[in-house]
Amino acid sequence: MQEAIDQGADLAGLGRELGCGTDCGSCVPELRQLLGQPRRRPWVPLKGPLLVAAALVLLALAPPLERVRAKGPANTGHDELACAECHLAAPGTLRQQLQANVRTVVGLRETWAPVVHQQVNNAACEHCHDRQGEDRHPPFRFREARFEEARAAIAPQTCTSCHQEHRGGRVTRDGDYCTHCHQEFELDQDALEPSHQQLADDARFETCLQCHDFHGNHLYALPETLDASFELDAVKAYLSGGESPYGTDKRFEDRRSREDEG
Amino acid sequence: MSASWTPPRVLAALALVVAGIYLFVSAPPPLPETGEEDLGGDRRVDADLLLELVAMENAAFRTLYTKEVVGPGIKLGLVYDEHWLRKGSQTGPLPAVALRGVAVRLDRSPADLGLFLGAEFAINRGNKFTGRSLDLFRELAQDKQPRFFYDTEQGLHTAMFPDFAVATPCVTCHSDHEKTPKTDWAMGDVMGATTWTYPRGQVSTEELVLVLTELRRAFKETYQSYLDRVVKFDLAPEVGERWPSEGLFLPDADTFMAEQELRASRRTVALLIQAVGTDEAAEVDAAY
Repeated sequence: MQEAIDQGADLAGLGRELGCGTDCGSCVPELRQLLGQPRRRPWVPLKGPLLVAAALVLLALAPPLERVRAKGPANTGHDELACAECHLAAPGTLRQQLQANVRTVVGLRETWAPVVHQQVNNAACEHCHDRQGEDRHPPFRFREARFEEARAAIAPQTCTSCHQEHRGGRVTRDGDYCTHCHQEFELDQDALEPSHQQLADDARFETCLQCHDFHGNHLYALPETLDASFELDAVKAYLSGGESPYGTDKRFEDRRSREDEG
Repeated sequence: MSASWTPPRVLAALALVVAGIYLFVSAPPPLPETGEEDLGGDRRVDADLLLELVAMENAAFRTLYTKEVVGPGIKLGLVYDEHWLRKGSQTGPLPAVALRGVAVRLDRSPADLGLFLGAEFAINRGNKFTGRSLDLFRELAQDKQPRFFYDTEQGLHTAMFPDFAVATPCVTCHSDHEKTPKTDWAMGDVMGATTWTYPRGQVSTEELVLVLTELRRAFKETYQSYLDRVVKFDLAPEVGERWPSEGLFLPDADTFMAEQELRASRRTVALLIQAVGTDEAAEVDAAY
């Protein structure tokens, strides 16, 4: 074997000519040593980048930097919320969760199990934004059978259909929501000119929010004419996260504000 | 050992075995199906029974609140309207409005029970039935019988129950309200309907108890929220063990719920025994 090496045989040549390293392969590292070849350590060139990546992951997992891991900027008023206030822990241990999902993959279970965190649901939002039944459009109401068309179109039964988090604003859906339920009006007295029905017939649904706030939580004098209504741009700016044209006086403050007030 | 079993491959195989054990060998108990975490127990009753039970409990609550609180309260000078939660308001919730408070609390409870209130001639237009709901309600108003159906779109077992005019305040308030679309209500009329939903067709007895507990909790909290305000009114009744029929009093939440339970429990327990007993009898039959 040494003779073959001296004559310039490489690892493949040793194997071909003498059968070295072709049985179980356990002597290959020693053969490499004899040949003066370095041991194969494919990870060595990656060591630096891997260490940097590991350090970054550890840094990002540190609680003070949890915002770094967020999908985007917090929505208006949510800057100081901890992630765990909305992202509640999923039931079970990580192992149980993974096992449950593997069982779903192989057909032994019907539903997917949430892993690490639950999906953010209405309860998480209402924990802070509690309107005590005075919400003009409480999301749960839209689970009633008669709202089937609206559910199919805009899913108003979930808060996140209109208020997607980590988008840096307030409302993330285009202003197409009123049209799904308010095509017909039965008002005893409609002093508005043009009338509510006329506005609906003309598909001028952008005017709705120029007088009415969607959830009815602001205390303000309702504009009596369309001319006196809030500017559409001001409404749009508010929905994007700007100041409220409906004022700052509210029926029900959010939890943080209530706690601040003592 | 063949040449293909090189150390990296052995390591990979070992890793696969470890992953297999981690993922398949079940030291921890498997998680229940998502959304069914609260099931527990092995005896099941039909969801329709649960819906019937909660409707019955609700009817007792509504009748008690209307007949023993709102009716006598109005005679004492207390006011009830739909704006009772507004700042500075010195009013209490009308029965239908109180029911909305119950619905909101149920929505946030661990029970997956849904409650909706609706009518053909609704004072609040937002409660007006339309489409399929209106068709069902009109059928129900004719024969005064509940309707049970499965909402395939949402996967919800659903039941609609008639709301009868059970007390004079029902008739007078709904006929005289400035926004009412109907002014000639009479005692016994079907004024509207409550719609109840539940996501599972089979319900364990433990789950049933959880739902009833949460429903009663919702009743109590709703009534308590009225008491929290009424004590600050200019005309503030004394809250304790006495009722408005005795003077300017309101029962505290415990007294109110004790009466509620007294009125509802007999029927609730009877229905439960009937349902569970029937299952048991069937099991005995099958065994022999």
